[in-house]
Amino acid sequence: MQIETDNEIRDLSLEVISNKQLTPSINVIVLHAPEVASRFKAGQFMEIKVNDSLFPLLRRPFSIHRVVGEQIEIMSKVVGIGTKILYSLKAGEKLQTLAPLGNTFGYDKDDFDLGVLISGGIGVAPMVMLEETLRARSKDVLNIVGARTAEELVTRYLTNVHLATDDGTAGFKGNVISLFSEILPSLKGKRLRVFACGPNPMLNALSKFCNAQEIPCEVSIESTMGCGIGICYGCPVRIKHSDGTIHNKLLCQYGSVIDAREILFDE
Amino acid sequence: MLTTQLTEIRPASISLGRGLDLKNPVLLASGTVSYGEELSKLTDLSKLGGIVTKAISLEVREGNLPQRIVETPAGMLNAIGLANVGVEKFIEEKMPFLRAQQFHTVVNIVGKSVDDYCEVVRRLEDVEGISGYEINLSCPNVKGECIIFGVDERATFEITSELRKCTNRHLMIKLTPNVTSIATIALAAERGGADSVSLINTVVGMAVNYKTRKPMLKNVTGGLSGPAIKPIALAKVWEVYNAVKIPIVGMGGITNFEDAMEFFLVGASAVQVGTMNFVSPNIGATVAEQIEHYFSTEKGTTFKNFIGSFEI
Ligand SMILES: Cc1cc2nc3c(=O)[nH]c(=O)nc-3n(C[C@H](O)[C@H](O)[C@H](O)COP(=O)(O)OP(=O)(O)OC[C@H]3O[C@@H](n4cnc5c(N)ncnc54)[C@H](O)[C@@H]3O)c2cc1C
Ligand SMILES: Cc1cc2nc3c(=O)[nH]c(=O)nc-3n(C[C@H](O)[C@H](O)[C@H](O)COP(=O)(O)O)c2cc1C
Ligand code: FES
Repeated sequence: MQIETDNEIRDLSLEVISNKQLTPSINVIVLHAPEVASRFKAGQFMEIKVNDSLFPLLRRPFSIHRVVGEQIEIMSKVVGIGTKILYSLKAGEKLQTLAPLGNTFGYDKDDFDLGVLISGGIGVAPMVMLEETLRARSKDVLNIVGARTAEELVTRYLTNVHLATDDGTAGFKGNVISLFSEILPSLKGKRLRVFACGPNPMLNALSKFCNAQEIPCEVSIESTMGCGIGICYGCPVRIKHSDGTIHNKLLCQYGSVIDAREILFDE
Repeated sequence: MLTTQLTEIRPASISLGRGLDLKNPVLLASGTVSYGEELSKLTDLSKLGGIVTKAISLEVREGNLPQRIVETPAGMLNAIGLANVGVEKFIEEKMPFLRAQQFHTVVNIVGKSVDDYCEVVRRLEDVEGISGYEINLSCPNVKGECIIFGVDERATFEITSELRKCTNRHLMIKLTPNVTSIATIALAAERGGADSVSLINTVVGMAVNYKTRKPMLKNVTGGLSGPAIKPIALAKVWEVYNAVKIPIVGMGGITNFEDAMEFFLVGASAVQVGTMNFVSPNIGATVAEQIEHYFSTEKGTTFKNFIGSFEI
């Protein structure tokens, strides 16, 4: 991961250009965002107020999915009240949005030639922008995309995709880590860096796997966030520093992308 | 550096005593602004009367494990566990920024014993750029600690009078609503030498998941804040207003100008905005501007006359 420098945060009311329901629970919202679109980097996120009422009260964090000119896209999965509202949003409506937030994936690192993008469930959301960014830097890309079942797989705009489903209804039957370990021998001799996003238990297992294999790995972590801007202290993660000390850091300030060797998951 | 604020010429300026002269009656609440720096990038903090820092303790504190917050209808529960950098690091790392600002900095203080509280105040007393202390006797999320002071009349009196001996700065005692009679506790603070009381801190609450049979918060219980608690806060401010003579700083669920006016009406001389900073980083400055605008254009009332002008 790397620290973003040009990171002036803006609180903007953005117009919904379109809202496309891709599956019964996943949708992509396109927002007109000329003030911030060009400043978004892969791995960053934004905090969205889903309506202008007091219920739900707090903003919700969403990764940047894609940037196309002056438009930004988010991919959302319905899990509760806020995402349900986003699912049925209409073109022309407005969303109050704090952006851009957080650090970015370490796409500029020069220790790899092949980026292995591993996502689980809605963790696929930031991978489209990451793949585009890596390709623009002439890196090779391999995607491993996992979901519970074929119906929940979304792989649009991704290339070189290897699928895994828990129930075997599409691609490899099993989780993304098992699939990665199957693919790994065929990547011998290549300098890899893993970029991952998905549920924390998946990221925990993947971090352990990559650390043991000595493959550089960075993970975009999920946490409840009250503000996204470092003022509520609601999003702590345990970080192990190189000197061995362990401290709480705020995920919205220190991440959300964190090196797999640093992060200690709550088990 | 904050020089004396021009209290006379501003339409809603207010003096809370001992140099805490606010250009307008809006502060941002402890635990919802960190130490100001993050928010300063998103809003003009100089439009505010001041900010109250995250609670400072003698030692650094890591705080509770996640999950620390959970949203509830029109509110949220938090159990942060008073995570903070500790007083020395606060002076070293956070004060240089705060000292350079055009608003009052009130430092929220928490401790495990009377000595703890006094020691933090002693260390801060010679540090420039601090306008007063808000004494947190009422944090619900750390077991066996400061809450024991805030629910007990005698303990509140004792700690206030001890702190009074340690400082000439403004001493604001923050009250918990989780008591049988908040007015009794407020009177004890007044007797002990408090310059003002602030209320309410969060209301103890809980969120559970019947499927996992587990609490939503690691700490099991948490403090409820946000619009959901405004009616409780208004009732408590009114109760305390009828009991004490010192100024009251009201808070609990303020989301806009109208909410703030309701607190002034029932007796608050100033207000604090908390949870809404998470939703709208510019909310405090907006409310402050609207209050100033109202009292500069409204004929027939001044801000000071409006305070406590509730008619039953
Ligand atoms: C940095 C970051 C980036 C994210 N990017 C995306 C994205 O691109 N697309 C997407 O669909 N989702 C993303 N999420 C998750 C998303 O923020 C939550 O799904 C959303 O806040 C849930 O809101 P809700 O009102 O629908 O759910 P609620 O009604 O608030 O909660 C419903 C359920 O979801 C769980 N939940 C609530 N908030 C979160 C959270 N932050 N993470 C995980 N579970 C949560 C609750 O524990 C509860 O079980 C991201 C989260 C983070 C921290
Ligand atoms: C996340 C969070 C952290 C808080 N931390 C503190 C604290 O450190 N010290 C304190 O006195 N009050 C703390 N409070 C309480 C607030 O200052 C305020 O009393 C309360 O939230 C009610 O106001 P509100 O409804 O506007 O948020 C905290 C509140 C929240 C939501
Ligand atoms: S989400 Fe509020 S501090 Fe990170």
